[in-house]
Amino acid sequence: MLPFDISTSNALKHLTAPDVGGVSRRRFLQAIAAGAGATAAASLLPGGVAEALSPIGERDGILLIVMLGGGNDGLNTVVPYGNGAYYSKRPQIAIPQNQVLVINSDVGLSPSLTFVKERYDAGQVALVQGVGTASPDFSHFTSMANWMTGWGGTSPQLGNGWLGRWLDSLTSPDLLRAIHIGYGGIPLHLVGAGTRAVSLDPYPGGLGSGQQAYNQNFYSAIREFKTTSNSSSIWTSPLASALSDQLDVAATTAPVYPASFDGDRTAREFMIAARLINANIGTRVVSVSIGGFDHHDSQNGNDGQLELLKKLDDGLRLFWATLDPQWQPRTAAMTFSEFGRRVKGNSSEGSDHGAASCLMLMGPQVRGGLHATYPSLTTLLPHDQLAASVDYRQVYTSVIDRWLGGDSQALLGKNYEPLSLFARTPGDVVPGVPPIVSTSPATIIALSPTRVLDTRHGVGAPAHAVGPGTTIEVALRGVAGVPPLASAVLMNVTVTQPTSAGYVTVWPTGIAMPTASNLNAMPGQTVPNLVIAKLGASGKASFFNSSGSSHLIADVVGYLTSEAGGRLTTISPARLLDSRVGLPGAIGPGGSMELAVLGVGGVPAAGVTSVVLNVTVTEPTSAAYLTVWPAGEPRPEASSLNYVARQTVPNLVMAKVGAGGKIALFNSAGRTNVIVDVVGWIGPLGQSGVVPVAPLRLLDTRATNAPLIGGRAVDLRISGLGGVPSTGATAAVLNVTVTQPSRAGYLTVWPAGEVRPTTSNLNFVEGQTVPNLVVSKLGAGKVSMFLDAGSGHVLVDLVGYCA
Amino acid sequence: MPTTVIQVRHLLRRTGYQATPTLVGELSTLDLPALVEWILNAPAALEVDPVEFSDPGKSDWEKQVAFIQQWYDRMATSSSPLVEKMTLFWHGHFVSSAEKVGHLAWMVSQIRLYRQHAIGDFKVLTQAMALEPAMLEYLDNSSNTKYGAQQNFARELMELFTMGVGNYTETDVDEVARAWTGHGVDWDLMTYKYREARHDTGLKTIFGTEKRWTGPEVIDTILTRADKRDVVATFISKKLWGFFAHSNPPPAALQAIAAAFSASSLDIKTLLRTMFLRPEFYSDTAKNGMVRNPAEYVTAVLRATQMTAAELHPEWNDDNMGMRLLYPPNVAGWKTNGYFISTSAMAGRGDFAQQVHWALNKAGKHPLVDSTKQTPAALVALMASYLEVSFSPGTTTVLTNFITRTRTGQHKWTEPMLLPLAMLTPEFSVA
Repeated sequence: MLPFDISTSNALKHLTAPDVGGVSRRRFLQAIAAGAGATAAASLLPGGVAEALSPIGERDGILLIVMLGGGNDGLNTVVPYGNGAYYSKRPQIAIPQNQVLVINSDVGLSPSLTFVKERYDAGQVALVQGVGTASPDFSHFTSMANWMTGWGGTSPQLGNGWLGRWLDSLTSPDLLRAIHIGYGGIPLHLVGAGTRAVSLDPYPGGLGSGQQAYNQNFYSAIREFKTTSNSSSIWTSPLASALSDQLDVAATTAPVYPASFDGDRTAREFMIAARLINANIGTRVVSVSIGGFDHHDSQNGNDGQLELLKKLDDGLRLFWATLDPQWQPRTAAMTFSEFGRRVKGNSSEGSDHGAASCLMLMGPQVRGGLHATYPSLTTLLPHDQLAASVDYRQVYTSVIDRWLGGDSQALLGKNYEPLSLFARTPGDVVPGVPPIVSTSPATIIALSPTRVLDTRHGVGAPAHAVGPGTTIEVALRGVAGVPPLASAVLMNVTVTQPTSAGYVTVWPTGIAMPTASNLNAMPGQTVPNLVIAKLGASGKASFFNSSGSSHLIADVVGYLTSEAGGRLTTISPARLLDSRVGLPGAIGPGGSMELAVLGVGGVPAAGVTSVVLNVTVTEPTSAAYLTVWPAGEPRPEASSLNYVARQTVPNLVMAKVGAGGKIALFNSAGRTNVIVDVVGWIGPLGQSGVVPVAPLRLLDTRATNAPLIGGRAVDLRISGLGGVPSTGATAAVLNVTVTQPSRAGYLTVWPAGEVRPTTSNLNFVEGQTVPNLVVSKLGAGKVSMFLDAGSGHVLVDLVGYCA
Repeated sequence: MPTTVIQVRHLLRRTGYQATPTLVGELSTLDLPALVEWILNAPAALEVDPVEFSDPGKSDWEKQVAFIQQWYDRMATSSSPLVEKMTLFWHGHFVSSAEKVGHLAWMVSQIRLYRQHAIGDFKVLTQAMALEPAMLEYLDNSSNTKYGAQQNFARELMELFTMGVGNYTETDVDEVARAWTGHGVDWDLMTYKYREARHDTGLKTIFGTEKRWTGPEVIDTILTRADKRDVVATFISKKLWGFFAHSNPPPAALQAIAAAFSASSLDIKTLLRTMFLRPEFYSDTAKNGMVRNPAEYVTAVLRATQMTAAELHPEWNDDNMGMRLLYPPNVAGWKTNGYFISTSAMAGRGDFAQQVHWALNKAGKHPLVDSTKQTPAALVALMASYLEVSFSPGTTTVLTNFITRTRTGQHKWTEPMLLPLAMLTPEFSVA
């Protein structure tokens, strides 16, 4: 492959961003342009260094602007259901009272806007009522041009729009600062006098995305049109620039397209909008549009407003669910339309062009609630029109002043009274409300284990124990083979040498720490656990040590990505090895063994890249660790389980399958018995992706002091809880902790309704606190849990599901 | 008025012709008025249904694709490409979209009406346009009744189709809507139907005159009352100048063209004749003033390659390029020039250029199949004549260097990609 240069002057601005920790933006872009996807990108990044750079500031606001073309009927969006005139003036098209999503005794939302209502209730939606202008125009085009131009100055402003002028005003312009998703021209609001948005094809594979050397030769020639073409036409230069820009856009945005997507065009646009932001390519304004709101006819029928608002609602839901939680505090969404509709319905069960309408802003920093006043339905302007209570440029003023940053008076040509539409500024910590989490399944890529953190030896953090109540942050993106667009990292985290009983919580850096734990340990104990750590904009995970001081070790074993990769099939647990029974027996000091994992225990013989195992060490003769890795590869400096003499320790292990369909096991010291249960396999033909959710504690028997009693199975409902869909989830990913067990024993988790397998997920001795990640198929949306004897408290944290 | 080769070439290209050296040479013997008459009076191709229309095994979708392909082929092969160009203009002016209309037969009927009157009488065209089921459905007049008028058609009739904003009042919109009540479609016969019982026969005040207005009377008044007719003439003339010459017409030219159009009682051929005879039409601004819209781009490729739309499939890429036939973006139709220049639209042209490259390979008709026997300069000259384009010296260098690089690199076999590259030159994208 040629070492080609993808840069033009605009792209160079990415490439010349400060080079921190040795990762250059240039390499990142080269890797992406190479088109081999995220995996190749990772392989070009030097290991052990910081995440890809953020080309926009930590406190820069990002705006999703949603154009509702055709004139959205504000009266049927924020419905004045408490007003009799609403029903008397538009009987055929009024939304019945019992269908309105009630906000207060006067108004409510269209029944299509269920997600908007949910976010409104969370305080994250500002509904601006009665927005319009004192001199309304009823032409779609004049009115839309006025809204897009957003100019209040005396001398007319032709051919540019309010966000375009904002782009002009930026001191660091960039090709990708504003992106309109769609074909055809760039909408006027995104066109400045000297700068404009680029348009992005909603579908992948466009000119510039080719990966081969001959493609690059072709693209080089296209780039040269811009520098050497010298025709007399005024249009050749813009054509050459657009072609060259397209090559940059395609190269940079290639990883943004998902491998597959089921939704319609509108859903796709909202999804790509979020992924553009997640990709961290310097974009601050993303534009999408929904057309067809010109409902002169059958407003509540086929292709009517109810359907279009549903598209909007679904689109916003998908946008926020796709948007990484770490970008959410820096993002706001805003709708606009050229005008509303008349109060009076027409004879076609529709409504004609109107004046004032409503718009909404949505986001964690938005000041939720009703803003401005609802226009009177009885005191009307001529021609039965609603009078605006607030000018649309007041909204722009607020967005510029409080969100995007800039001189609103200069950009809008006049000083407008701002509205108080934002409660906080971009990037502020959002109190109280949890972020919206992804519902799109990710696929799993297993890696050979790599140590990214070891506080005993100064790997990834200073070489000293982590103190009580202390948090450390560890960079994971671009490290150990984790590509820039990975959504989560799978790590085996071990706590060792704790000075007191406590717990460790791992969560994405930048959001509030969840009420959940990943590991629990008693003084002196060494406890490992598999952890799924979501990654956000910063690419870091935070590790919190609750009390005493502890050393922490983390080994990356895989990652989740929305790109093509492995999918997980969970199977009913099956035992592949019990060294206590038969040959080869316990593993000696420094000894290793290989174990065939394909074609056994329900794992297919082919098409499997890795297996998910529950590995238990029992009866070890000395303190040691066990490493599981792909057979045939050099043994990595990493551990899957750590233990002291006579301890029984289980851990969920994701192991890449090595040569001959085998994995290898290594015991560092003493002799130990090993038990291996397979619980799932990962491969291109697997059933489902994994969706990490914000950790949710489903069960804590200590709260009611009703410990689990031995010998009795209990069922735990999963479907419909904590972001898990009521239907469609195939398996749960749970972090299960047993504490204060009355005697030594084990705990088994399996699909409800099936016969309990002869496997275990957690093993413990009397009084021990033991955590383990558990992946279990669901039976009728539930899992069963069984404690073999005695009694013990059980904590269950939901951390993800498979769908 | 003597004509020059440059003038002939410019006029032929803008009126939709392939300006081959042979044709330019032949026509240069005519003086400009004779040349313009030759263009204006060229016989249009006959209307023929695509064979798919009578094949009961074909779905509506397949029929629509066949219709669109046939339309592209007509643009490329008609003996009156001007009629095809004007048909496209009216499609983007009196807009309906298959997205909303839903019935292919109605869209076909509407396009054929536009072709029939493409360079005829604007009054006849406008009156007939108003009664086409595609229009009645697209702008909702099919449900405009005396029980509650609705304005969609009334407003666009005045704003977008005839006079432009500022030449009517909101009261006029209300009252014109009432005048147009009763005109709808017969859903059994799938044809236009007027229902007297749904028509509002009351008094209406339109343009200051109170009487029992009917819909067609409104159009007739707009197009014949002197003050209104002058407004219409200017509105349409300005738009057509922007379609054929460049944006923002020179005032003197606009005035002259509009005056002639108005004086002819809105004869479209008179408008075009006056425009094509204006010296401003041959200015440098005009010669350098237009970007080929996607349909024109496709047409140029169909002509150069001698391939059919069924072979090159422009309908796979026209949406990406920014102009999907039968699906205008909104009731204002397509804009011009800069509207078709964006990153994603360039990606659309790139995709189409690649598609043409592969289709020619597959058909064994690629002009560069034996490229390695020729010098880079000869290959570039071949592309210029094949695509009928004049490359600037800078572009010639770029294309030549491309061939030189492929010959020194490890991908000699990609030399024929000079064709899609030449299709992406800025020169090939300007009209």
